Amino acid sequence: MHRSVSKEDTTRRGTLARCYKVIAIVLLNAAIVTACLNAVAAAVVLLLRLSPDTSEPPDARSRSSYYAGKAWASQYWKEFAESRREQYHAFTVWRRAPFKGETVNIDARGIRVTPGAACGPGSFTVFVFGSSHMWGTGAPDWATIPAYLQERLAGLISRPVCVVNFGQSGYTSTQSLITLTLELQAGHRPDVAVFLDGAGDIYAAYQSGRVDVHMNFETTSARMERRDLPTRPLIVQTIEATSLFRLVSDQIGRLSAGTADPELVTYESLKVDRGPLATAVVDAFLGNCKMVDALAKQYGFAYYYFWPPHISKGSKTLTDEEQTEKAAVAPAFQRLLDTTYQAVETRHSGTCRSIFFLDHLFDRETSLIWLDDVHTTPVGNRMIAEKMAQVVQDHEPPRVGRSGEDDGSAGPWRIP
Amino acid sequence: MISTIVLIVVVLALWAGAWQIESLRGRQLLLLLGSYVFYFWFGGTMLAMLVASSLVNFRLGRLVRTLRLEFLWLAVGLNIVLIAAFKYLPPILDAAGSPSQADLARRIVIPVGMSFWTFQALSYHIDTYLEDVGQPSLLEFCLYMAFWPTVISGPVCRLPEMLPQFRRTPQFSRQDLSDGVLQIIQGVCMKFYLAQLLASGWSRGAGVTAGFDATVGWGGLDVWLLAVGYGFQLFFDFAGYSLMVIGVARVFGIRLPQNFNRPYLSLTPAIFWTRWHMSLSFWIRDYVFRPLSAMRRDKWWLYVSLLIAMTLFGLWHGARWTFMLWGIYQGLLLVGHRMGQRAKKWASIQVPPALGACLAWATTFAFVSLGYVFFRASSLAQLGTMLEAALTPSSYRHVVLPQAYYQLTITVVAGYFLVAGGSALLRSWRARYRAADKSRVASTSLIPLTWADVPYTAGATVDFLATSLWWWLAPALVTLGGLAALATYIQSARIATTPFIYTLF
Repeated sequence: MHRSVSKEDTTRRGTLARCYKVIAIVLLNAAIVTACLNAVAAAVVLLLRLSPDTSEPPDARSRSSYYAGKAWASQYWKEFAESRREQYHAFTVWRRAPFKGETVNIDARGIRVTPGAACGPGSFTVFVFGSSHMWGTGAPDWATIPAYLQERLAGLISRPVCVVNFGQSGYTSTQSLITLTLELQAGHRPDVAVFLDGAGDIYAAYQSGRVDVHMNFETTSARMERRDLPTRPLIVQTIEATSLFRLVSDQIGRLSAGTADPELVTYESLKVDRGPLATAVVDAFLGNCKMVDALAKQYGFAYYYFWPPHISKGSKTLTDEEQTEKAAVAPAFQRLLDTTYQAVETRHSGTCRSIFFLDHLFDRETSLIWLDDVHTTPVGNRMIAEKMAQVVQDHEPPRVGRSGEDDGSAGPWRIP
Repeated sequence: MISTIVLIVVVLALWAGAWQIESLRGRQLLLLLGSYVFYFWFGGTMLAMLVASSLVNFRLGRLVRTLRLEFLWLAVGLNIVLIAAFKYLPPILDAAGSPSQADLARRIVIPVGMSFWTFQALSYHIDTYLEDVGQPSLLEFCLYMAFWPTVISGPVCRLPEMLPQFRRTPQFSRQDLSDGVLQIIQGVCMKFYLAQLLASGWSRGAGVTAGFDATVGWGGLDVWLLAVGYGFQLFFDFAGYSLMVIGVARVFGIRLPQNFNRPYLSLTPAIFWTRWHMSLSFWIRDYVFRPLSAMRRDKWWLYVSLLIAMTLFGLWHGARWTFMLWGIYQGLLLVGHRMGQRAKKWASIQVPPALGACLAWATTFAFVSLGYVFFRASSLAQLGTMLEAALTPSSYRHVVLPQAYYQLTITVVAGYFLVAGGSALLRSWRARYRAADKSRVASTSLIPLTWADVPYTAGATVDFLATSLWWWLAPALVTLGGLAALATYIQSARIATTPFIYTLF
């Protein structure tokens, strides 16, 4: 009896030893294989880092036929991509980081340089505000709307002209207003303020389903509140730090990014009604206009709002390329844009009298004007600038002093 | 995604259960049930169509067995009318233009895999008429038609290959399991990684899809690289899928016909068509080309038969002019090759064998690749523009595709040939090592002492890795699979914020 128990024990011990051996071999193998894979991954990661960064695809607009034969075009799109870095800016959230290039120059304050601007005491100062269209997407420094406005006004005005481009990509009219307020607060008073706002307001509402926010509000607030970086257990963090994980994760990210565009969150997906949203966009826009009006009276400057053109508006005969761009406009965006346009056209006269609509500016133009649905080629930029200059000239700046009284001057215009 | 996984688990469980059943009919019934559960996932109507087609074809098969030609024509005609109604009627109605017809066209949905299972039914009828292919029971015939690994996209099977396997008492084989799992892994890597990578690109917008669909003004070089890239994308996608299907069946001890056999190493278009989508290619050869070419003995008729067969091959892919032109192009290539062979004999041209092989491979590769422009072009206008660019010398002065596309395509293509060539070399070294180890005529030390030892050392390493395959491959797969799952979870669990559309501006 005693001997048989001992035999069983031996057998059991033998089985346990075999199991242990198998588990040990499997675990050791797993460790060796993982270490080998990680070493290979480290080499691949190193190699990929050494290779030129090709993660950003070229901007689709760079393929516009407008740029064919333009010597500066490839340099511009290269610099455009390089200059897209933003930096945090108080109250308006972002501005472009300083940049020095052949076609794009951004000064230390994050303001795109206007060639020929003669800024100094006694200059006729024009502050221009707006989003990427005003900033000059698709155009080198010398072919932006402010650059053409500078050129045009310099020919019309007897004093040195200083056009300052406060346009920033993605800005709404509220950010333009804040920018103006900050400038006034700092003691910089313009003679004229020109706004090309509206598109950013509609985009922000399209994106968030609300109007009291700037563009990309969700992403920005998630970063601010660190919601985009959920804390993970140490073991996961350790795994994440390995080359093998980084490589696998990178590949999965690339594959999933290529399969389909992520479904855009829009006011429609958020179940926000278009009508009230469009009304709210117009309310906010006209409210800003009203505040600018008050500031203009208080500080003594003229202001003009220009409601931006859109590829779907006006009656320009579109080229094939433009037709493609028009067809690519997201239907939900187009619907909100239509409703907002309609609302602003019917309601502006009571609140914002200095507003000019540019919808029909390109009606008689047959050449390529649109780079996408909102941005225009330098040809379009010139036409917009000329219209702005004409408006500034036709509606002479109110001859009011800082306190709002008539200063009795003859105005800045050259007398033929 | 989760529902797909659940479905596959259920089907696999049904199949695994079927393998435990002693009774042949019980086993076949459960196998069929598994296949129908799988197919039902695509829709009840589609399953009803498959069942109806199986029943009708089974009955027709019985009639064809009487060896009366009219029954064969009836069976062939019915199947062709059915597939034509689903596959070619909607585009015809759509092109007709009237709103009601276009609306009707949109409502006609072709049952998944219909082209494949209808072709299986056709081959059954023709084989039954020409030779004795064995008499399947209704259950066996339905299983042949609905066999779940192949029902969606082939390979197109033949009844004589499948029937004995359905009747065999299943035996679990570790070799089948190992081979099957290896084929599945290989297929997954090809379909879900390489094909996807070529389609979407290493960086966004720098893949085959964007190259064809979002680019204009191609240069000559762009067209060639797109053609090569798409050819490889298609190869990885379909060959990968076929490998997965063959692997799944293999795990259960069922051997399906090979569908791709290193087609890009072919030296002639004729060889290429014995290695690319082999199950369909052989089907067309056996049931279209051979009967047609046998009708007359003239050389010109042989060429006409080739053209007709390949045009039908093209049209099988869908009712599009580009598919038809692709078929005609491939037919012309085959005719051109045959005429070239005759001309070579007649002119008695002598070329060194190695140079001849290189030239033959390069010519075949170039012409076959160019053919994919026909296959992939979204319209005749695009096809014309791309061919014009490829054939106009001045268009080679500029390229519009991003550099990243060139790097990716060249790397993947070079990698494929390197792996294909390297694996053949390693296999031969392994064989040399084994022979040397057996007879102990050469050094088989771990570290090569001379250059002559390199093949033996490499062969020994390959032999060790092959004999201990699952000891290292299983941990590697578990590690990679775990990391991929974690990465997918982390990426999908990222906070859902509005996309940063600032970049639009």
